[in-house]
Amino acid sequence: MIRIVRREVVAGGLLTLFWGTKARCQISRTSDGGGCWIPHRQVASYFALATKPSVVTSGAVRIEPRSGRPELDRAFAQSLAMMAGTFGVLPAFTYYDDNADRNARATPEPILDRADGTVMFGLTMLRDLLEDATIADAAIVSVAAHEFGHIVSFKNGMINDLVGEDGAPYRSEQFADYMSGYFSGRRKLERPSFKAFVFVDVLGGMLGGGDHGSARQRGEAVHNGFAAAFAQKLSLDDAIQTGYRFAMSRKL
Amino acid sequence: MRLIKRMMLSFLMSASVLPTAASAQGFDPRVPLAQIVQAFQICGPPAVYQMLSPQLFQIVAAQTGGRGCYVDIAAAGAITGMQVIDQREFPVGPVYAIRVTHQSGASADWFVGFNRSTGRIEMLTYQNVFAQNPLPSVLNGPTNPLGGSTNPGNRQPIDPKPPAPDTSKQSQGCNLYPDMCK
Repeated sequence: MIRIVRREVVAGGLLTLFWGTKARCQISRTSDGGGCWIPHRQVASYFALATKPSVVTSGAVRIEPRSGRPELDRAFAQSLAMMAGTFGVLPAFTYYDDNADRNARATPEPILDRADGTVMFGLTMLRDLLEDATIADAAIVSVAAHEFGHIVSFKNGMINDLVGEDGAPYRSEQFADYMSGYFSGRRKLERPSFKAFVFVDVLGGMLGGGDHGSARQRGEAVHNGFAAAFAQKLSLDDAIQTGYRFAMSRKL
Repeated sequence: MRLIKRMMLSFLMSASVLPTAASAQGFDPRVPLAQIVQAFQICGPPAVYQMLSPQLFQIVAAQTGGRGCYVDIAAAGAITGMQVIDQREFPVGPVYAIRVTHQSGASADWFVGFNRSTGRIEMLTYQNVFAQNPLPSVLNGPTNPLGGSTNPGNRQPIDPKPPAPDTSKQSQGCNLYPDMCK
């Protein structure tokens, strides 16, 4: 079964103080129901909304300059390459027209040959994340790292257990949040000034419930992943196993 | 007067140097603003004034006696930093709020509005950030197609954000997980 995992936007609570009224939390579901899961037959329609996909193998690979800030585009490309290296996956990356849906997504289906699935980053979401220039770089990276976390679970097959028979995405989202937090911890080890806290602000900033988990639950997942890298200094393989156990133990 | 004639001539001969709708995606508004501010400090080069709309060009010429530069902006010293702190889209084009700091320690929030169809700057003004090192009085464009008043004393083209906060102090992540903030 091919799935697309939806990552909702992300802001609420204290984050609203930063982003004002445009920062809003939403849980938008597909017309077919099923929470965040989008039926396979819709994958092609989402790919049709994609811009120019690329596989970011290194920081020298240029992604589409969509932020309006060349230095941020370059830094984002470098971060994508770091994610690929940190997570041991190489998905295709593309922006797509998310209109008012404000999302990023991951699917195991590659939009480009030989890629480990596809990460699709909504242009509306990008625009919103850019609104606070002081945290925009880390905010964008946090969302992308969450999607890369999904790619990890697609590639190693954990997604089947994480979703389970009922198809509920909560545990897979917890795993993706954990892996995003793990990436923030790895980055903070490399660069102490890295704004790891923004990952909680963004991914854990969602108010209310929803199938991704509450703000508190998401923040906990991010922080656990962060601690696995920063404090416990777990290897990727160990972090994946620990993140899997963490996610499987969670209840919505 | 020779300079203003040169400015007028180059202006009339110029093509758009700012992004049109087709090319605006990778646009960094700090680049043209830096050129404009520097031109306001050293009275040129004339080509920089081509970025201004005809009306704005005329106002600058009128305010500066045709020299194209402002004594007080020059006194602020070289630009040492620029940060885009806000952006709003209007039907005519985008308006950016850009915090500019100078060698003297003065800081000002510049508001620069572009006409998407012409690629030129239609609106230009600024507000001082810190009272202890103020820049000179407000510099205004002639008209504000984006809805603001043309009265220099009342002009508020967009509602600027307050100075950028220390995000870590307001961060939910920092409050909940201080180890992520160290």
